[in-house]
Amino acid sequence: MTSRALRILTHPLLSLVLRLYLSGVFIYASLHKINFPAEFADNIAGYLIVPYWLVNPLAVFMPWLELVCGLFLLAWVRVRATSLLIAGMLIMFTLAVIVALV
Amino acid sequence: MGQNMAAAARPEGEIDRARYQFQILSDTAAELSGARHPHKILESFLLSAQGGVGARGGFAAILGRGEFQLMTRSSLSRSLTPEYAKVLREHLDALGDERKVSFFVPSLQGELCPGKCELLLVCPLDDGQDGILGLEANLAGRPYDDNDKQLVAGLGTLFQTSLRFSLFATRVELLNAELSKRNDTLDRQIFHLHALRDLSREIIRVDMTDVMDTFLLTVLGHFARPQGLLLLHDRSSGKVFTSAKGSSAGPELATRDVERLIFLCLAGVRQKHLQPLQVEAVERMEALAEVPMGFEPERAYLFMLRENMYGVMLLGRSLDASVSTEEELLQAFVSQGVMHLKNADSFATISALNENLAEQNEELRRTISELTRAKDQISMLEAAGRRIASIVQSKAEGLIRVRGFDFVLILALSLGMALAFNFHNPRGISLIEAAGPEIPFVTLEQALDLIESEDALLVDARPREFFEREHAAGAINIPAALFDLVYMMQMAAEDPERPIVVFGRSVSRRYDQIVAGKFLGRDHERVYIVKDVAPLALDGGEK
Repeated sequence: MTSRALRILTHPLLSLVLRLYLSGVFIYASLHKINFPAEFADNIAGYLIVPYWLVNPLAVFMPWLELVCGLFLLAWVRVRATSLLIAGMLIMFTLAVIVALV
Repeated sequence: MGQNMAAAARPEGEIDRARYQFQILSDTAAELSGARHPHKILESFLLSAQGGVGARGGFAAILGRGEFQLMTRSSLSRSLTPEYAKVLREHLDALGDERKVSFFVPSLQGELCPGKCELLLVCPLDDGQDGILGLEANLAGRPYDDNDKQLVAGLGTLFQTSLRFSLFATRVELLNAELSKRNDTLDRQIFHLHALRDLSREIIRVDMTDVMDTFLLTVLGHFARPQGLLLLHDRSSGKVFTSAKGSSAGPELATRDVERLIFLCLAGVRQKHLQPLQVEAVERMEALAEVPMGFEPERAYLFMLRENMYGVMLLGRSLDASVSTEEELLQAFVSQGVMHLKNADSFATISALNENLAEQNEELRRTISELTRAKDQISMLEAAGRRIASIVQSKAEGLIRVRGFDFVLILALSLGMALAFNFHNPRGISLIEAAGPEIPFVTLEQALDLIESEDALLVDARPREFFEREHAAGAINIPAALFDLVYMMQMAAEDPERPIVVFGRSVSRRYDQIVAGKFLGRDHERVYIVKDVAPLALDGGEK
């Protein structure tokens, strides 16, 4: 049972599907934020976790980082580094939401 | 001296008689020396003995194993019978093999002898033969005395010697005749061997057609036969080889005719199951007339070269009757020729195999060449494959390897593109907010005092959701994003001299600074910012 689940979890097809999904999500999410950085800056400021002098640079830089990571993941380029960056961003976003809710 | 005295004592008649006997012996010896035929010897012996002793009649014969082989006789011995010869033979055989010299046989004389011989002399010869002399009674009627017997014995010795010599001479003649006959046979065999050797010399060829032509011509020439036909039929391939000589044009035999001819020949031979190289003479020639051959064959031979390959040799009538009788030599010729045909066929088979082998070798050589080229290409492709695999592996390892450079690359790329796009984006934002106008700060006490003493307007600059969560009593919410709308709706008639206390900044955004700046832009002169206070701390300013 465990070996079967492990075989499914490590199946290359599942990896491909998840990779396409994750890269699609990041690319899609980045496009709007890239076009409207001010709106994204307000969103960042709403979380109250970023110092005011870092909000705008972050609002300009983060969408592009998401886009580049999404494209790299889609193109299977620098996968390890891209995956780690995406994982880091996901963790960061999750913590921000948790902080905002608290 | 004693003998001379005895001779002197003899009477004159005895001396004459002895002289007469010596004369007879001398004459007989002279006569027998010239005689070669046993019959003449017998006659001379009989006449000399009969005349010497004055016998009335007699006989001389050569006694074989059980019969008289040769006999000469006078009238008195006509009644000699084969039975007497047998009795005589049995008697002589009973004496054993010690008989060398002539001896008398008194036991068979007289009444026992059919001719009533008074003297019966036996002269042993060679090979179990004996010379027999029988003499009847004396003409004078006296019995034979010792002198007579001595004369007869002497004649017997001469007879024995002459007859032996004659028999030897006869045997030598017989041997010579047989030797001559054997010489003839040997000469004939040598002739045959020479002929076969000539055939072999002339058929030292390898081409089947040449061998057939030479073979047929040699046979026809040697046996003086003007017409002949040689056919070979390979039943496995259906090929027919034909060689015809002597007729104006060779017979146009179809394969079916050839098969029919071979079938008829097979029906006419004694041995139906032929073995390879076996030659059989066709005995029933009349059936072959069904097949048109252009001549009337007199001899035919059916042979088998190998499995499924039969041959027929048909020969016309011989011009020489003596040659035509040499059936054995003809058979040997055909057998020898079949051997050469077999060699030619084997050579053809070997040549075909060699050609096939050469083709296979050539094909194999091409295959090896192609394989060598393919091997080189494969080696090259393998090297390229290894190279590509190493590159791919290197790239794959590069893909899955985590390096600081990758992070730097991604971050730098993102940063560069972000800055470039933001710079050209009409909705772009400044990375560092502008300082804005100088706006005085007031403390919480001063703010409360302004609210209480001068009825200052308390403005909460935070976004609406922050305001709704908690806010100071008396404060109005004017978010920076909605400033113009709210100002137009609620504060268009506000006195510009009325002090305005703005508060509401977070760690992430200085809302108070922005909104205070906007108030200054609306010509309000007394705009103050109170910072680092909780919203509820300003509740004291409520009226």
